[in-house]
Amino acid sequence: MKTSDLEQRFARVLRKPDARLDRATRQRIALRLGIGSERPRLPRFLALAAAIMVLSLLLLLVLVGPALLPTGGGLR
Amino acid sequence: MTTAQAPGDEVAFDVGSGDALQTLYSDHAAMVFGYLVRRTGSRDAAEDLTSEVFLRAILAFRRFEWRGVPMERWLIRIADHAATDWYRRGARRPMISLDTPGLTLGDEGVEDQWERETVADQLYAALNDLSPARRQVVILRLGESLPFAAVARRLGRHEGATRMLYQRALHDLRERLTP
Repeated sequence: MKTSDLEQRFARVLRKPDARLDRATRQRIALRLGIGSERPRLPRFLALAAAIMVLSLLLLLVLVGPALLPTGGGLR
Repeated sequence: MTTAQAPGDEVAFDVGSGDALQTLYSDHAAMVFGYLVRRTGSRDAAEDLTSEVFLRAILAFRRFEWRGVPMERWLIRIADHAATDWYRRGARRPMISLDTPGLTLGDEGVEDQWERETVADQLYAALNDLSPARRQVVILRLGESLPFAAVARRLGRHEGATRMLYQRALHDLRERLTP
């Protein structure tokens, strides 16, 4: 048997168009593993952007916050 | 804390944390499932075995058995062992049942399918007789149509060694299939 014939025979059997992991199967296996519904992971740059935004807001509040207090409303 | 990071993986994860299994699963489930469908010829079996593979992997991590091999190679190895056990348990690939509604003995489609299944069984039997490394190369190369460089990367081998392994696998298969 030629090598190419052999390769073709195995390729015909092994190439499975249904070998793709669809969402439903992925979820069923995840449930079996006890990891519930799989959380999509937040891309790193989005997580970093969110963290920077929160820190900026906090900083703004610390710097500008006292100036926004009503006059005489602060501690004497 | 023990962390694991394979070449090419985006992040290292704490294997003792609850998220370790989820991270491992998210990153590699499709690859493991695809390998197992090709290895067993059955989506149902692949579904069962995929969960088994990830449980085995996480248990091995917790027992500190991970030895720094590339993650994909390690998972394929576990998947291959799980499939070998599946074959040993006698869980054969599903055959066509003559009781299937709508099928009759005189139906040419049934005969064609029966012949195809018989040939497939012979090829799977030959594949099962190969060494795990040779079998993995054949499945990745012919099943997933991956170029040798990609097969080598996935198995953590050099490309030249992978080509040689493949040629030896074909030689073994030819011997097994020649009457």
